[in-house]
Amino acid sequence: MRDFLDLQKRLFVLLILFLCALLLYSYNLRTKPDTNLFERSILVLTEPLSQGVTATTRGVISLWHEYLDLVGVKQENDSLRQELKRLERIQIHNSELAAENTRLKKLLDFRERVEDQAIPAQVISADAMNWFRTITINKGTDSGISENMPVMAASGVVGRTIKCAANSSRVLLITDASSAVAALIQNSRTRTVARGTGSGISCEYAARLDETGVGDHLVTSGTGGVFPKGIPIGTITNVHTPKYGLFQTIKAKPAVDFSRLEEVLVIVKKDQ
Amino acid sequence: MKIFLLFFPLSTLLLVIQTTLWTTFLPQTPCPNTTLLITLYLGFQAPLLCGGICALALGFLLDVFSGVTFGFHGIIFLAIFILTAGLGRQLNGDNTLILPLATIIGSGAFALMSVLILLLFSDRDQVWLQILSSIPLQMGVNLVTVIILRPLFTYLGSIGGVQPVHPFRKTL
Repeated sequence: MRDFLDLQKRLFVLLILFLCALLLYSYNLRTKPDTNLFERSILVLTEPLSQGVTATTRGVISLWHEYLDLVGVKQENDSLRQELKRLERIQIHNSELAAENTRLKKLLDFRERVEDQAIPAQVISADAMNWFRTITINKGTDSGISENMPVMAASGVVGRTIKCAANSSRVLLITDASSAVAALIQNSRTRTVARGTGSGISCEYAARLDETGVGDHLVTSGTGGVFPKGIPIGTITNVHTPKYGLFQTIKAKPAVDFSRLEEVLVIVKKDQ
Repeated sequence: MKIFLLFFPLSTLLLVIQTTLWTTFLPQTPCPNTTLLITLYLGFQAPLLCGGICALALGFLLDVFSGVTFGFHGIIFLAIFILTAGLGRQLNGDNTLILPLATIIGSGAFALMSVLILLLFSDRDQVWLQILSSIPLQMGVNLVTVIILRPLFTYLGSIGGVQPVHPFRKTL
């Protein structure tokens, strides 16, 4: 009888614990995403280990690739020289366009856009669960990073910061199912919401009558309050326009190859 | 307390390895859910209260390593621990097939609980299809991992002073 009561008591404590966990989760869902003390401590403690393992792994992989790259390096060098010449021509052309743009802006009395600060960071680990899409970077609050800051790569939008510790931050990728970015289809100027599907992006609330084609570029609209305007998100890969209804179904491929992502830029607005 | 001090750092180390090395060398293969495996092991072996607290802490730990709202995995792991402790202890904990079998069932239960909580709380409304489609492969990866890690769990368990719970054992 005593054993039975003891067992009941323990089960009751576990039940209370379960309810507390449920309430904690529910509370965290309703409140503004913030990094609590437990999360901060774990991130701080594991960051050097993650960074060490990643750096060692990358060193070994890089050494192996360097060895492999020696094969046919001259041929690649020649083609890169050709590419460089082509890019130089494009750069000169772009400089001309930028100068022209500046002149026109001044002419129309446009305000100069505030240049945001970009903090470079390295990707040190991925998500522990297979169905969520996040990465950890090696910069945090010590570098001026806080929650909800946009993260970019050279090819486009990566995501936004969701948890920050002193020297590391977790970034929610745009392909995660809970990610939604205010977007614009570049050609048709159709407004949409780019929502992650796990592997790609689906564009929601794109008006049915707006003309959208496969291959069109998807860029940030700047209306969501997190991402600046005009940053590439991806390319449209599939468009389904129903005969009736308000919206079309659009799928897009992200501009960033997340499987090869190593360096990112965290954009810190000047007022932040 | 000893169990917590042994299994919590082990889980942290395994999570660091799977978020750095695994994703670099096997990016297309699902990561094993090592935290779930430890929870299942504790469900069979650890005292009820201490194991429950440990399962909850392991869930919180996994929340830090994954991009989900804090508390999500805590609920699931505590529920899985209670179920394992309640049902699994009717079986012989010494049997080497028990933990692999529990891993298969536990992987499915973990995925279903995740879907249920996500749908109920509307945290991520599209991820459920992805979770359900990944169940068979996840079960396979978890099964191979538990076979590899079982001796380590047993060794740490023996240091921590846990003993397999035999059927009809009076105290938990």
